[in-house]
Amino acid sequence: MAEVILNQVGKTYPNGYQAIPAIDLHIADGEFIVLVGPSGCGKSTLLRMVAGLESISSGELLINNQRMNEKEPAERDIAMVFQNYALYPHMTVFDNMAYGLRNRGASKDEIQRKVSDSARLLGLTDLLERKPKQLSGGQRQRVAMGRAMVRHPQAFLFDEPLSNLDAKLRVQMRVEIRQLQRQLGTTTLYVTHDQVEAMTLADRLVVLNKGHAEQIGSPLELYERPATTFVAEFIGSPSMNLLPVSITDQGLQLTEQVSLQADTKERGAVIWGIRPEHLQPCSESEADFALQVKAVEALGAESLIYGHTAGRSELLVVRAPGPFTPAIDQMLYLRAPQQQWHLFDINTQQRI
Amino acid sequence: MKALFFDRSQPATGGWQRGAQTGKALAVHAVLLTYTVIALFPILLVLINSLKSRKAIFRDPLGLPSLDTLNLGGFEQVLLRSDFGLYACNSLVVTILAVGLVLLLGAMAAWALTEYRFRGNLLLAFLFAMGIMIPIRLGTVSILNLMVQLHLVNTLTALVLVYIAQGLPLAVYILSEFIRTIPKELKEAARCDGISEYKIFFAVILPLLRPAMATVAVFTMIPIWNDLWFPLILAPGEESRTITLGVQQFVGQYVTDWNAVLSSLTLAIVPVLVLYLIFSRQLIRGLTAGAVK
Repeated sequence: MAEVILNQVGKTYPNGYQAIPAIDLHIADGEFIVLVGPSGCGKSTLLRMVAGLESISSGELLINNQRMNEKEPAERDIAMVFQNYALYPHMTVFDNMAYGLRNRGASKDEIQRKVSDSARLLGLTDLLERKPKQLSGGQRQRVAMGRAMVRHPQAFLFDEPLSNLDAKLRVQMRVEIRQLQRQLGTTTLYVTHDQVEAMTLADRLVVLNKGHAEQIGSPLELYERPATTFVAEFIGSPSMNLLPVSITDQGLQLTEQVSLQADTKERGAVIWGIRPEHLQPCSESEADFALQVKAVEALGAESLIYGHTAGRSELLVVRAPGPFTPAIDQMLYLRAPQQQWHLFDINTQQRI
Repeated sequence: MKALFFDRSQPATGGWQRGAQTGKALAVHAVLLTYTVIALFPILLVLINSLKSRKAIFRDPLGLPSLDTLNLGGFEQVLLRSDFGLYACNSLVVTILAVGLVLLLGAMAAWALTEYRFRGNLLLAFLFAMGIMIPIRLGTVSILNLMVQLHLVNTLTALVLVYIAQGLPLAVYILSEFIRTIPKELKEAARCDGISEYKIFFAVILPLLRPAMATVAVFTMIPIWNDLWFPLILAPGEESRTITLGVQQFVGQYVTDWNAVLSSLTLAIVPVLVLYLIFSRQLIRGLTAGAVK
């Protein structure tokens, strides 16, 4: 268990491609940090750099206040769980879990005790004599976690560990991972491209885009106050509605005919953002603007309504509670409360 | 039983499809059977004629041995009045040592060439590829010179060394291709577990290479066992003769003892058949199943 500190850590490949310019991240002891971003944003590279499987080109990595840049993966005392589990196929579950310990010269009794402890925690006790190919996907995933746990490492590193599971199992394993991590109190760095996974697991989230951290914060901070349009779009499903608009003395000009009253000193072109659940269906008299319904997705607990507002081509999304199904091409009247607005600079994409 | 049940539950419209499939299977089997017969015929001929008297061999080469023509004189000649045991032992020692070392060195070289980046990596890989393209026999004269200078003529060591050189290029090539298919996460997981590079190779990679190594073993073993060229040139001495060379003593310039030749050939098939059976069991197994999804 340890602090993990990244000081201006960067990665440049020998061919000159800069995958990660420089990232600062301070992970407290026992904290669960999720790196999230679209594919190719450098999140896996960053994780592999922490693990020691990828060299660090610049900056400094500290685990437990010790510089780790030049250390081999084994010396860093971390444990990694891979997307494809990477279990040793010719070894039983027990041997898979025991291999690292045995290799570090642990005594037979100690190995037996630690493996059976972890196996009990993960519900693998009855499977210890099986080979990986005799296990289901979820069980293999557990064995991979068991292999990481038995060593009581300084930190867990997860590289998209749930991507190979079906949706139902993924939800279940997500909860299990979170519980386990709380129970063990091990510092954890977790990589995923799934923002729901990220939101539900993380103490703090790091949203990565093209190798730099767009925003670091708790899931709700990121949800409520996204620092950039990238974070605003990435966090939350369906994504936040983002529209380029201009603010004049008459208010926020949604279209040439429609303006929304705006109590802001901001003037000129901005990006206006509002989450689908903050657009509230209402009567015509109360409405800020109207939406022509183009598609409805009724999910039971909520309905997603897609449509255009007159004079604009962007598709807006409204999330209404309950089974609410307006007819296609019907006008839907909406209120957009100002306290739920997000305004971003049109050039820098930064929050205003 | 289950298959039968399934067949009956198929809708009737699937009938023509099944018919076409059966036809295709029959055609494939016919081709394969024909090939098998052609391939096995000479061996069968050797087998049946080794059991016949000399006269019967020439009178009716294709006939099966009858009570009149049955004659085990050839086996008697080979087993009792020649050093067949020594020759077989020599062949076996050379083959097993050479195949074993080709597998070990080949796997190590393949691992190093695919896993590690170092100066000269490409050049080395290229040299191994050249070894596949250029037959080693072109170098016979230099090899003989070398062996004379090393005082290795008429030793089994000479043969083992040459056969390692002969088998290594293909082994490296096949095993490299196979090693590339092993997910890199396995090695990375092992590295995180703190396992040394040597141990990663011997305890994680090598067990996964078994099917590929069996393939290589079969490909390497047969030419070594059957080789006449290098035993004749490098180790023709009485003590170091291999089976193929040993058989030659029954082939004379004027008279050939066909019974003895055919009997020793029959006996020579047995050890290589046993080795093949051992390796081919491994061929069938798919070992990587379950490593990753």
